[in-house]
Amino acid sequence: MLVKRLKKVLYACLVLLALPTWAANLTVATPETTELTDHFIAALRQLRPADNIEVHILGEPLSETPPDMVVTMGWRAAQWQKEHLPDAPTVAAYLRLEQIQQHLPELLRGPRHILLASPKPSRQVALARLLLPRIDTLGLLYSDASRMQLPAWQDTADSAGLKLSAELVETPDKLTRPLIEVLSRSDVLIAIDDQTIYRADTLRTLLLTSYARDKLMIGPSAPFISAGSLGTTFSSPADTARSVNEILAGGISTGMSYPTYFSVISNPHVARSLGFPPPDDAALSQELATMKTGQ
Amino acid sequence: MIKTRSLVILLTIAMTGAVQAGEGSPLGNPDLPTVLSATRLRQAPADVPGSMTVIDRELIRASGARDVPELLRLVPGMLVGYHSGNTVNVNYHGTNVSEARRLQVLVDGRSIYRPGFATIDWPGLSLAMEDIERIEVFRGPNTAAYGANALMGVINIVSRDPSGSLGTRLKVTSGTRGVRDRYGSHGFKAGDTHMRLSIIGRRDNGFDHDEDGESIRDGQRSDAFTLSGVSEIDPTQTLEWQLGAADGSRQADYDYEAMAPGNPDYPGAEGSAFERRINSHAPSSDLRDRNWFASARWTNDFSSTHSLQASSSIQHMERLQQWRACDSPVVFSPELKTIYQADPQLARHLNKYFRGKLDDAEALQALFPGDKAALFPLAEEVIAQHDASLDTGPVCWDINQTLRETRYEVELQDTLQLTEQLRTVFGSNLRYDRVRSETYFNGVVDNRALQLFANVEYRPHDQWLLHAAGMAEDSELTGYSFSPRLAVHYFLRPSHSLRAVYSEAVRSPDMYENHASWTYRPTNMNGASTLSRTYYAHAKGPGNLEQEHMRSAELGYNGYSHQLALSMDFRAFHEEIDDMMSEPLQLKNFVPTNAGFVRFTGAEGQLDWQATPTDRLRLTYAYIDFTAAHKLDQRLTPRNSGSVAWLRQWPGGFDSSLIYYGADMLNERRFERVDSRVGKRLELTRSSSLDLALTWQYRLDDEGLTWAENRFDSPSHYYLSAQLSF
Repeated sequence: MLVKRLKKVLYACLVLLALPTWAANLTVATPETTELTDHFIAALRQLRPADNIEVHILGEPLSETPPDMVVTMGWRAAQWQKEHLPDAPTVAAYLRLEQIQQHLPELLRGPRHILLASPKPSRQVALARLLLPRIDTLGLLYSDASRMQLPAWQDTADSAGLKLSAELVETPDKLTRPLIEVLSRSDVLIAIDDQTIYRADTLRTLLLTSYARDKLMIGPSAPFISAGSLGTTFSSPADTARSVNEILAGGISTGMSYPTYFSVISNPHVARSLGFPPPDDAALSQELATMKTGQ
Repeated sequence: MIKTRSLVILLTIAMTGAVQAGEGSPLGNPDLPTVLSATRLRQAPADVPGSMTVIDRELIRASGARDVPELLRLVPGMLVGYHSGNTVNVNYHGTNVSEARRLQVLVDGRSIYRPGFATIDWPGLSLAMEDIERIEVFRGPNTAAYGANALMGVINIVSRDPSGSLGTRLKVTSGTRGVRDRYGSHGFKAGDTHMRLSIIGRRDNGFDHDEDGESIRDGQRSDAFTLSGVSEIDPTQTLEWQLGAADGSRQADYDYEAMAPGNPDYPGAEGSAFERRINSHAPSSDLRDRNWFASARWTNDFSSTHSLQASSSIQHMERLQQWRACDSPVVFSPELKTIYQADPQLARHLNKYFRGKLDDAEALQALFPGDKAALFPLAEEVIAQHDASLDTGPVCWDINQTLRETRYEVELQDTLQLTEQLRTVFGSNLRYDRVRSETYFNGVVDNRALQLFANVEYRPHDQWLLHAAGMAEDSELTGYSFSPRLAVHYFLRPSHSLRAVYSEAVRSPDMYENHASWTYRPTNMNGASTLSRTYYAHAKGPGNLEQEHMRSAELGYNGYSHQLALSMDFRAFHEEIDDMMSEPLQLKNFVPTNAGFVRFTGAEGQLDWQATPTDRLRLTYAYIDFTAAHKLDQRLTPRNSGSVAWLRQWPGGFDSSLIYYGADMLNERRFERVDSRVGKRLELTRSSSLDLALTWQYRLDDEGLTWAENRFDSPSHYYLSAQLSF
């Protein structure tokens, strides 16, 4: 009996020792395939050539071999994992704060690490300071859906030695007044992860009103940059894959983090029209990565 | 990895979160419109093919200025002057101070330049100072972009977007020199349209007295409203519209210069009925201004690189001015008319005689030399006719100097970014102008003009930018013209450029210069009997005047230091206007020609520095050297002029500004003034506030303002304002 147990322990130890070279069955669960998921999976495959990476599209039949580890992309995939493979060690990537805030206690039960897709406050603020070195007050709009992000932004502003002026947007059609209020009190509009405020049909008001007052918007995410936001930090599929790989390699511990790796994207035309030199995205990423606040 | 502190915050978010999770997924690419597209972004200051001064909201507020012309003192080389008390003229670099024919002025793209008299009616502007977002002044000729008459520059006034001014604002201003201003506005949203209604009222007493200490009749009042709206039809289409009306009145002294003003030294005049009645007749010639306009602009952004704008406007301006004039009945004498037609100068000699400036009839005869001597017997007849009226008294009649101008305008403009390096703007403008006046035009004069314009901006290399622009204009009254502009920029760094610009520009003669048919057409005549009902003097526009032509070359530098928050612009210029119309145009002396010429060379610069988060310093300076053929064009230009401003935000909601304006010889007179302003904001509730401000202006020189007769009792002038916003 004891020998049998010892054998098992020894066997387990051997498995653990062999882990880095061990070919794991890794399932990437995604609700659909998009350009982003394709890039992410390709990047992950490149980083983990030894693994047997299987892509599971939600709704399609699951392969018979149970996976050793799971990477979920987005909210629906995370829900699916909770339901179908609750014990599999999981990295739940591409989750937004807004989506998880209500479910965090249950999400943080079990071997699951949440990798956020929301912009990291300290990185956004550090970027704002690099792009607009003379800012003194950050302007921020929030709704009921994002009210809970406020303390983190306040904390970030405090540690950066900046003031924060925040206004509540009750409903998207009552956006103008708080927006004007914030613009008149601050030097830059920091767009946070809030889809009640930052969406296609409000974007025009947000950007044109700010621009008319020579104020610029930072964030919230990469797609907003070509629309007219000055710049943002974001994690590209490759950045996210690297960050996921790091978590997988270190052994998945329960917790939550922002991706370790990130890039900067900016809009040179917007910068130029206000007389700023066009930003060098690669240099800015580099600078932020080496700054303590970026991490 | 997350630090403990952040994790605690994140957990707090999660624990207390009681709202529905958003549905949006970061996996897909949200379909977002390109809002700040290449076609919508403003041109970077370093890319502008010329010199631009922008007066922003902060500066407008800090200046405390009650009207736009006073603000323009902040623009290097801009010369602001007053004549007849309350008539303000803004000129750039110089030319005749009494006219302001060579600047184009736009309000949200709509030209307010009045082609009838080539003037800008500043008091008739229905836009409130509080509703101005910024004023962009393009210094230098720009007919390549704005059409004829943007000869020396363009002043573009941009009003605040109605979507950015929700809520109610009420403001009162009161101060010395009879200043009593009112402003009220309310911004609201109805459906997809943001609207703002603004109502303004302005009053002041004008100058206090002339150089002889006599009071001047130059008070003014204006009341106006503007309703502006912006509707988002769909994500790519916007409709902006405005309508407004203004009603104003301006005091003016009796504006009729009599042939025989009742001089007691004139033989037989003393104590006569004529002398008594004509001297007791001094009504005012006050005038009433009424304007209204409506405009609409539709913008369609087909894509982020292609945008089309169609705009249309109609505007109507009228100046009502009627008064009763009295003079010797000889002004309706056929003999005097014959003399005037032979040589208007001879009629002026007769006037001198009646005014007692000549000793006797022999002195007058000496002024009819050579072949003019044949006309002297007619002059003697006129004198006899006048002498006969000394007992019967003068003839009196009504003068109707009312002027009405109407303009319709449509414009199409297409902005196209062809490649990352190549951008074009082209379009067409069709305009119809009609001016109507009994006195000046004997009815109606109208004009149709078509413009085609194109502007190409090409960036072959990071360090080089080339501009080419041209405007072709064909006008019924003045014919065809073409104005080109070429500019090249070399970028030292991305926001620092050196530029060389060459441009040509034209100004069309106005309807008055070219097509006047100016005489008094009397109604309601009584008093002494007259030999006819035709006034002797009749000024006729030659009808064949050419356009004025300007050639301008400039070398400049524009730079913005992001780190220092310092923007700079310097330029050296050489400007020449040929075929210039410089003659004074008076009823009794109306001989416009294209004989004038003026040349300006010099340098000017502006610095704007946000020295600290709370201190802003601004400096402008212009050095102008000029040569002008006509004496009236030799007076206005100061060699040195400029301004220095310091704006500061203080703790506790206070802000202050101190601005010095100076010109060594503004119309041959020194001008130096310091304007200061202190403001205090009181936050009443989260969404309401009270702004109090005191503006104090102090003149440092003791000259009249542009003319000797424009004088105040005290060099000090102040006004207080209170604005409630909720």
